[in-house]
Amino acid sequence: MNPNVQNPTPVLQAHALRKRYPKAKGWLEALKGVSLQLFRGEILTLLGPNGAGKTTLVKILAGLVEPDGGRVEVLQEGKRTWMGAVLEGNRNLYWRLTALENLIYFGTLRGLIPKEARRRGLELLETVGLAEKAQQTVGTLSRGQQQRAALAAALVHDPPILFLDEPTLGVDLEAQEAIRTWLLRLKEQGKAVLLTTHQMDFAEAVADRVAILQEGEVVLEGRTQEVLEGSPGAPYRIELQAPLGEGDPRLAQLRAFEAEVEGKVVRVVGEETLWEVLRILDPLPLERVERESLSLAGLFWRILGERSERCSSLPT
Amino acid sequence: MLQLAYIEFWRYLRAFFRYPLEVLGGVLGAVVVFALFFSGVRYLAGPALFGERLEALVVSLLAWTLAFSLLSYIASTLTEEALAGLLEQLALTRPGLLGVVLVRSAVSLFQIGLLNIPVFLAILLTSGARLDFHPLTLLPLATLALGALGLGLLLGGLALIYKRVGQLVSLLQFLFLGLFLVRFEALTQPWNALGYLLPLVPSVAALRLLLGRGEDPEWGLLFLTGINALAYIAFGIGFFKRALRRARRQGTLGTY
Ligand SMILES: Nc1ncnc2c1ncn2[C@@H]1O[C@H](COP(=O)(O)OP(=O)(O)O)[C@@H](O)[C@H]1O
Ligand SMILES: [Mg+2]
Repeated sequence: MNPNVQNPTPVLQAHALRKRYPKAKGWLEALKGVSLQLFRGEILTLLGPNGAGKTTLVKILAGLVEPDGGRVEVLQEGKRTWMGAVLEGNRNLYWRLTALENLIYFGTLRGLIPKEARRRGLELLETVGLAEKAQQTVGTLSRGQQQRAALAAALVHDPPILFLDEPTLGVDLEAQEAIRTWLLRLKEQGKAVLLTTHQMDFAEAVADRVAILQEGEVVLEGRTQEVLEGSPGAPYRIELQAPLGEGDPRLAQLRAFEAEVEGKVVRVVGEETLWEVLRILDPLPLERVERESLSLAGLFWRILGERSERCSSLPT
Repeated sequence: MLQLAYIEFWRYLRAFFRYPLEVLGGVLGAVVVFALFFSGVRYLAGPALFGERLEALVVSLLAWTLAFSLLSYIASTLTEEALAGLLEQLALTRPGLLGVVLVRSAVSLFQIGLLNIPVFLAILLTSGARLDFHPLTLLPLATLALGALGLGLLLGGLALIYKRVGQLVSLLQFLFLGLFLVRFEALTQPWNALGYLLPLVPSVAALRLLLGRGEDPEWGLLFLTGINALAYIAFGIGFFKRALRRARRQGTLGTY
């Protein structure tokens, strides 16, 4: 809550955002009162498992989804073009237009004159390493190239704020690297970036601050470095040769030790627990046992583990 | 505003020259259908079948082609954008989604006018109808376009929520073909009033009088035609805005 030292006023503030969607019986609470702040020259990464509400949050901030409660404050309000967004999925551009044509089109719709949009477009395609693909229709580009073109399109009108929903999903390593370097450069230019992902290594490499969202609530938020330092021992990762069956009685025993089970992978925190868990798993064939480095990934799994533990202890 | 029109036109031309067969195929289809229809009818029954109603029929068909080109253009462009997942990116622009749709419709009028010329020629040549062109004709043509725009926005609004409205458009197409063929202007009191309330119908009636019979329609009819078109466009815009709002509340603008 205390203001950021270098950047005292946030460019974007969200207060107690709530959103629920109707579902078969009753409501699905997608966001249960989420607040966040976004500052200039900063990358905030929103982490969370599928269905945590990340996309809903980004769309509310962008004004594409109407919240049921709470409010969003932006420094430059009133225009729809104060931000650029690359939304989830791969269709942010016209597949039948070339990369450059897309940039000219969206640039003009976002307030540039066409000539200026063309100049900016060429410049941006150069920066994302797509200069020689500028004249190729977007449908014929690879996923990584499409995603880089979409990033360029989101920035063509030079907005101060950028929203990126899963920008690295399904993107090859080379393009991921290109996106990473570019994000860091944008940050230096003073842009405020909000990024969602469930790729922890990517998040760790770019994020100044992280917020972990789970079931519509921010369960942890802070500067990446501080969050990592405050995290307890790194978890152990046990990989089985085959996943445990649905009704396996060992599952309940594992949960009792706060172990996180994901298919063939079991994660536990603490050496003592590791031995207990190995005893439970005995004599199942193991693939490998390793210690995860002290990382966002470890922290993330631990927090999820804690939460599901708390939830499963509630009467159902 | 001009810039937006320019960029939409530019985008349209780019797509047109890259995939010309898609557009030309549709035009060619319409030309062939109408040419076959009228030649077939004339061959089978001779011009006597329609008699003096031929001109009325031809004008109705012309109006129908024009109105539905525009109407289905709006509905199908929105459906396509929804399928391509582009509605959200278009909503994040200066004019917003409604603005983009309105500019596109205005630009499409030009394109529709141009592309329909061969269709009109085919109808005129094969049917042997003689039409009178009067400058006043522009008025009901404009109200026809406005009314079609209103209906198009209505269908576009439905497309925002239900995503697929192709079937509905085809259904309406035939419903309106029927309605356009009814000569409300020749009906008696209680029934012709109904015509003024229906969308597009008064414009078609005025066109029939002007083009087909070379008669000047009464100013009263023209006035009602204008009111009718304005009412439907206002309704269309209102409906579209509500649909957009609803899609934003349901969080379904981007889904398809
Ligand atoms: N338009 C919608 N209608 C109904 N439910 C939705 C809609 N959008 C998202 N949801 C639900 O809300 C929850 C959060 O979704 P989402 O924000 O997409 O999460 P994430 O991006 O973190 O995976 C999910 O359970 C999802 O099924
Ligand atoms: Mg998501």
